[in-house]
Amino acid sequence: MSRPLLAVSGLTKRYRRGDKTIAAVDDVSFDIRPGETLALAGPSGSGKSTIARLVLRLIEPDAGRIEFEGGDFLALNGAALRARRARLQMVFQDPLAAFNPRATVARVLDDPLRIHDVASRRERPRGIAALLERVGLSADLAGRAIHEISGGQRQRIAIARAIATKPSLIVLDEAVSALDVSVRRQILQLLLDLQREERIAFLFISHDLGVISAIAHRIVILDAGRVAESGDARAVIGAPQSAIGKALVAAAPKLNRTSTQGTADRQ
Amino acid sequence: MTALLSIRDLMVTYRRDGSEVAALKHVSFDVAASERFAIIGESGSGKSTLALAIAGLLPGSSKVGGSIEWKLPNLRLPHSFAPPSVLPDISPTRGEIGSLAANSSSATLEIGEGGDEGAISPQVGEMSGRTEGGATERRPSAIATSHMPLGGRDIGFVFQDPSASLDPVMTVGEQIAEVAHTHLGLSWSQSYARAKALLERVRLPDPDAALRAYPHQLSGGQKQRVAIAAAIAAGPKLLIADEATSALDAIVQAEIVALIRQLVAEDGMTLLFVSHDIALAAELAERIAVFRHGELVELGATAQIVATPRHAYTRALLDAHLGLDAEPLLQQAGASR
Ligand SMILES: Nc1ncnc2c1ncn2[C@@H]1O[C@H](COP(=O)(O)OP(=O)(O)O)[C@@H](O)[C@H]1O
Ligand SMILES: Nc1ncnc2c1ncn2[C@@H]1O[C@H](COP(=O)(O)OP(=O)(O)O)[C@@H](O)[C@H]1O
Ligand SMILES: [Mg+2]
Ligand SMILES: [Mg+2]
Repeated sequence: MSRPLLAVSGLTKRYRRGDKTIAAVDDVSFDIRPGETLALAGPSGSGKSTIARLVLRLIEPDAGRIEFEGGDFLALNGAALRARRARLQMVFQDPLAAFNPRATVARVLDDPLRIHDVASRRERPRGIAALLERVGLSADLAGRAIHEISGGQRQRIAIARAIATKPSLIVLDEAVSALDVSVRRQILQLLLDLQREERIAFLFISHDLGVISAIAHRIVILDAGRVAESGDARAVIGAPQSAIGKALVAAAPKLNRTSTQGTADRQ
Repeated sequence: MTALLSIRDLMVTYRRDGSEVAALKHVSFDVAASERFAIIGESGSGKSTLALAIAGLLPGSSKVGGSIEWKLPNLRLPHSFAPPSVLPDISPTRGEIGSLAANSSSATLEIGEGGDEGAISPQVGEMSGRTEGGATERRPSAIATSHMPLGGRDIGFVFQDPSASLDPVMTVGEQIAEVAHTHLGLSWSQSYARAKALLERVRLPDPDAALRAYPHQLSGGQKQRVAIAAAIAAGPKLLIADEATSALDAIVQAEIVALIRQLVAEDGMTLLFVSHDIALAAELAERIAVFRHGELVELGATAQIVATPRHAYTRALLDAHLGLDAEPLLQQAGASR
C-alpha cells in the first residue's frame, strides 16, 4: 500500500456559541492515498466543511496534525506554504461566486497560472486553451464572461482552475450538489478521468450517498464533528453500522424501476 | 377522478433584457382532487413558473395565455375580487406580485358550482395583514367575470428557502396566527392557539418555545416546518411545495417529505410537489409530470413513469439518477488504486 498523501490525526476545531463551546470537528483522523477518492458524508452541521477548510488551511485547528506530501502541513508558512498550496486545490458548490460576473473565463484561469508561476506571460493564452480542452470545453469560451455560461460549464472552469497548478489533492465541497442530474454525471465522469490520467486524489464532500457510492473508494461518515464510521464506500453504504450511517442510507431517495412505486401509501 | 384544476394550453413568457423567454409552452393537464402530483424536470424547465401560475403569483411583467380552471366545490365567492393577494409566507423578494388573471385576458379563471357553505371563505374585503396595500387594488376589473382561489387560504405555498418566506422580525407564532386570523376570521387568541396546534402538527420539538422564537433562532429544517405550518394554517385545498426540501440534508429532507405526506393525507389536501429529483418525487407522488424546456413531455402514474417511461427524456432522467445501487462510475472509468 502506498504512503498516505494526506494524513489527518486528532483534528479538532472548536467554536464559541454564546457562552458554550462546541467542537465543530472533534478528534477526527483519516488518510488519503495518492489517486484515491475519500468521501466525507454526514448530516448538515456535522463538520464536513470545517474539515475542508482546515485541510486547506483556510482556518487553523485547535488540535491535531495534518501531514501532506510527507511533511507537516501545519508547520508551513510564507513562501513554503504558498508553494505547497499549489499541490492542494479546491472546488466548491459555486466556486466562481467570488468573481465579478463580468470577468472572462480567461481571467479566471489566468490567476492560478500567474500566481503559481505555472506558465510565463507569453505561454499563458496557450495554457488557458489547453486547460479548457482538458475539462472538455472549447477554447472559444476563453473570451466569454462567466455570467454568460451554464452551471455545468462554470463547474468545469472551476475544475480547470483547480488542476492548473498540477495538484495532488483536490478538496471538493458539495461540488456537484447544485447541478442537474445529467450535468452532474458528466462532471463526475470528468473528475474520474482526471484522477485516472493524473493520479489526483479527492477529498469529496457530499451529503448524497448515491454520488458517493458512484465515485468514492472510501468513506468517512461524520456525526456532530466525530467520525461515526469509515471504510470501503460501497461496503459501508451497503451495510452501515452506525446510527447516523443507517439514517443516511434510509433517507436516500430510492428509485425502484421494476415495481409499483408511488401506488402504495407508505408513511 | 374529480379534477381540482384543469390547465389548458398554458403559455407563460417572461421579458428579459428586451427579449422574450417562453417559460411554458402549450401546457395542458388536469390535477385531481386529493392526489399527490409531482412536477419534475431540470433547472429552467418551467416548474416554478407553473407552480406560480397555478398559485396566481407570477410577476406582473410576465405574459400569460391559456387557462387554469378551478373546481373548488366548497368555495363560494359571491363577488368578483382582486387578483390573489400576497401569501403571508411569500418571499419578500417576490413583492412584485401580479396574477395570472390580471395579465391574461384569455385566462378563464372560474370556479365550479358555488358551494353552499362558505365556511373557510370569508369575503375578500375582510382580508388584512400583509396583503394590505398589496395586490388588492391592482387591476380588479380584469377578472370581473371569473374567480380565482385565494393564495394563503385555498392554496398553501412552500418555497425552497424557508428564510425567504418567513418574516425575520415577527415571531413564528405571530406569523402563523396571522394567516389564521386573516383567512379564517379567527380572533387573535384563537389564531394564536391554532398556531400552537399547528406547530405541534408539524412536530417542532418544543412548540411553546417555537411560538415565541424568531426564524433565525431555528435550524433550516425547523424553519421549513414553520413555513409548512403557515402554508396550511388556513386549511388550503391545495398545497404547493416548490423544491421545499432541496436545500435540506437527506435526513431532514426525508422527515419533511414524510410530514408533507401525513399532513396531506390527514387534511385531504391536493399536493403539487415540484422537484428536480425524480427519485424523491417517485417516493411521494401518485402521478408525475415531466417537463423539459417549458413543455410537458410525459405525464403518467408514478409506476409507469418509473418502470416504463415512454419518452426518451424521461428515460434519460431515470438513467442519470445515481442511487445507492448505481453502477459505480469508478469501475466504468477503470480507475485503480
Ligand atoms: N465560523 C464558525 N463560527 C461558529 N460556528 C461555526 C463556524 N463554522 C462552522 N460552525 C459550526 O460548526 C458545525 C459544523 O459546521 P460545518 O462544518 O459547516 O458542517 P457541514 O459542512 O457538515 O454542514 C456547525 O454546528 C456550525 O454551526
Ligand atoms: N422572473 C423571471 N424573469 C425572466 N425569466 C424568468 C423568470 N423566472 C423564470 N425565468 C426563466 O423562465 C424559464 C423557466 O424558469 P423556472 O420556471 O424558474 O424553471 P425551474 O423552476 O424548472 O428551474 C427559465 O429560462 C428562467 O430563466
Ligand atoms: Mg458544508
Ligand atoms: Mg424552480
